[in-house]
Amino acid sequence: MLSARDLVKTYGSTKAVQGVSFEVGRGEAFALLGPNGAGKSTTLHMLVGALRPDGGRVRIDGEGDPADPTTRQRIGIAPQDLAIYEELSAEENLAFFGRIQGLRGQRLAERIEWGLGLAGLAPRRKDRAETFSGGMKRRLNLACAAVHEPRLLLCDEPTVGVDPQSRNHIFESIEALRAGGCTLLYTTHYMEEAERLCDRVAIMDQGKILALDSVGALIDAHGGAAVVEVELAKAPLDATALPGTLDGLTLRVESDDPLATVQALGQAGLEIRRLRIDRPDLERVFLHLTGRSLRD
Amino acid sequence: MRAVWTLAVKDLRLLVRDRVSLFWVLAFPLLMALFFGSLFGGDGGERSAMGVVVVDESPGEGASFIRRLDASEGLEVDTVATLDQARDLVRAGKRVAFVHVRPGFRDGGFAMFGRGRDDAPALAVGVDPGRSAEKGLLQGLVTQALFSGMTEQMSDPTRMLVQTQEARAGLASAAELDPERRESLVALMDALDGVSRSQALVATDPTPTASAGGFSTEGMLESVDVIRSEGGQPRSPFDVTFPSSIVWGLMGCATAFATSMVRERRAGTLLRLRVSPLSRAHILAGKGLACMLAGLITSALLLGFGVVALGVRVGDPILLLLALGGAAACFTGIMLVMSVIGKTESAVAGGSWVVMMPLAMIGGGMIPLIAMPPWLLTASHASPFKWAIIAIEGAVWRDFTLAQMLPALGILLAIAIVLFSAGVMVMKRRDP
Repeated sequence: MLSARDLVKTYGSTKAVQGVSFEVGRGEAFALLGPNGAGKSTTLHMLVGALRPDGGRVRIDGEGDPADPTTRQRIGIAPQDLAIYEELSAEENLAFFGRIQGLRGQRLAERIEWGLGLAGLAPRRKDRAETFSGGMKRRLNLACAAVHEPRLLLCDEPTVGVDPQSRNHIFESIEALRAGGCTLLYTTHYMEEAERLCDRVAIMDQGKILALDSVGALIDAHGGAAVVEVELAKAPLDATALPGTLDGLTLRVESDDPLATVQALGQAGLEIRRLRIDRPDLERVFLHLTGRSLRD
Repeated sequence: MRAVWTLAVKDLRLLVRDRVSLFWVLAFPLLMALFFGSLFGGDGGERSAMGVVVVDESPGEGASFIRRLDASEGLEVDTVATLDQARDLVRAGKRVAFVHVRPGFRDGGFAMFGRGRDDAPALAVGVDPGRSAEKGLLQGLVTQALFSGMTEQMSDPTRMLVQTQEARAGLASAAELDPERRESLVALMDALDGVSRSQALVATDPTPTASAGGFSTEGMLESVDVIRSEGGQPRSPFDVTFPSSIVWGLMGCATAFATSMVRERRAGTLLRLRVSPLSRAHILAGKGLACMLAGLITSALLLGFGVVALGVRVGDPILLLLALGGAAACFTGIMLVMSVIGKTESAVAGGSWVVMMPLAMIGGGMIPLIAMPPWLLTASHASPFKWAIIAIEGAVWRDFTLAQMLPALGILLAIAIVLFSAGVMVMKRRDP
């Protein structure tokens, strides 16, 4: 569905994107995960033809060039900024973006209803967007991107600054779009979003893709072992016989099989007051790859 | 075209819902027109003397009448040789009225004495229809000058005796006069001669009693209709201030749409538009069409108010459409350049006023072009305001022909093309 080859973009002496390549299959959900300034949005703008790459090329749905209007008809974008008209109502925003995508008449009316349903704004369809909360605006932003049923939907940090309720609503909307066969390209710096929504993840930092694979494969390759952390009721008689490291009454043990480790500790006669298992995740993968946290 | 229309309608809707922009587009220009119109009209200040032109075709008696008229407080009198010259000055709005002293005019009491019903009035007054409120005042001052003549006459016994002798001769030759009436008039002449000879004449109350053939001003003063010449002269200050206000409105539109373009870029809606099947040309055309339509609608509303409420006249509606189209196109070009030069909304809004205000001041936006000193008029050539105002004034009150309007239209369109091209080039470089 989408192919990016050796994309390069430079602003003065700043190399925003350096040789980024990846492919996204039809119906797949693909995430660009990285901290702010990693080059995700610049890459996304090149993918949709809004920014001309200094090097490399983008192809959509075969040989389609994103600069070609016919190709762009298959694309929808929910920009990181709230790309809606605050002075227009929810219905008017959807109608406008539907019209510029060529929708008319009954089809447009149906898609407006669908968009209002997706955003959960049907009861407030006539209200101006300027009266909405941040979460409602984000939902409308997403609905406007998808009103024309694009085959490829690009979401640039679609949950920035929204409350948990709206975030869940957005997740459910995206999952519904995916279920309808839409290909998804998702940029975020929240690893839990990438884990929940996407089949494959490209981890970006400083304009480069550091690793690209399914979430499980990335964790297997770069996440390390799970960590079992137990708080003991009393100090063990022989601390040297215990696995892992003991700090006061807290014992930390790295393990590929956390349940077996917990069972072994119980059989060793330790009285456990509290137990926590830290499974490896994309945060750990990013830390491993860059030495920094995603939110640094 | 449908996409361009969709974009334009959206932008117009946004403009209508933005009260701040609406103030600059509509309310501010209207206030400018009303303020400067009132200022130039002098309604709020001390009223200046009424300019009156006099034509004297009398054998000589008109001179003292004109001298007394000139001495009237509130009148500024000058004379011309012919009635046509006098009428033209009033028609052109250069004088409030003319006074025509006709060949049969006689000064003093005998001018009002013994006149028949069919005798032609010896004086005529023609007043600018736009200054009809001052007509009564002028007629009063003319009458006052006539009576002053009678007072002067009656205080000069020698002159009085000559006049009664002439009147006696006239009575003797008036064969059709009723004998009883002749007798009573001769008795009056005798009485007047007696008064003059006694050298004790004291003028007390010069007020005449109106009676046919007696001592009366009735029929002496004729009011003549003047049809105002519409050619090349403003009929009121609002004829001048409304074209300027229209150009202020166009500038308000240009600023509003330039700001909205920057807002679209900042908010990401421009990105969304560019990812849609629309080309850059569509997007620019939509914004330009919206700016032009807003300019035309604003112009129509302002001018409509001027015509209905303040009597602004529209000389040639077709030329006016051409002028408004040219001016709107010019300011659309200005809008595009402003939108690509500024990076933030406040930079565009502030920058446009900083750049446009001096151009407005030298271009007739504040000081009317017709009131500019020559050096400022020369400097105004550099301002698009001047050409827009000239074109609109040409259709409103200057009574331009198409050929006369073409230079201004050509300059406006040339500015539009140059600025539009420059704007597109900068935009391509900024958003490739």
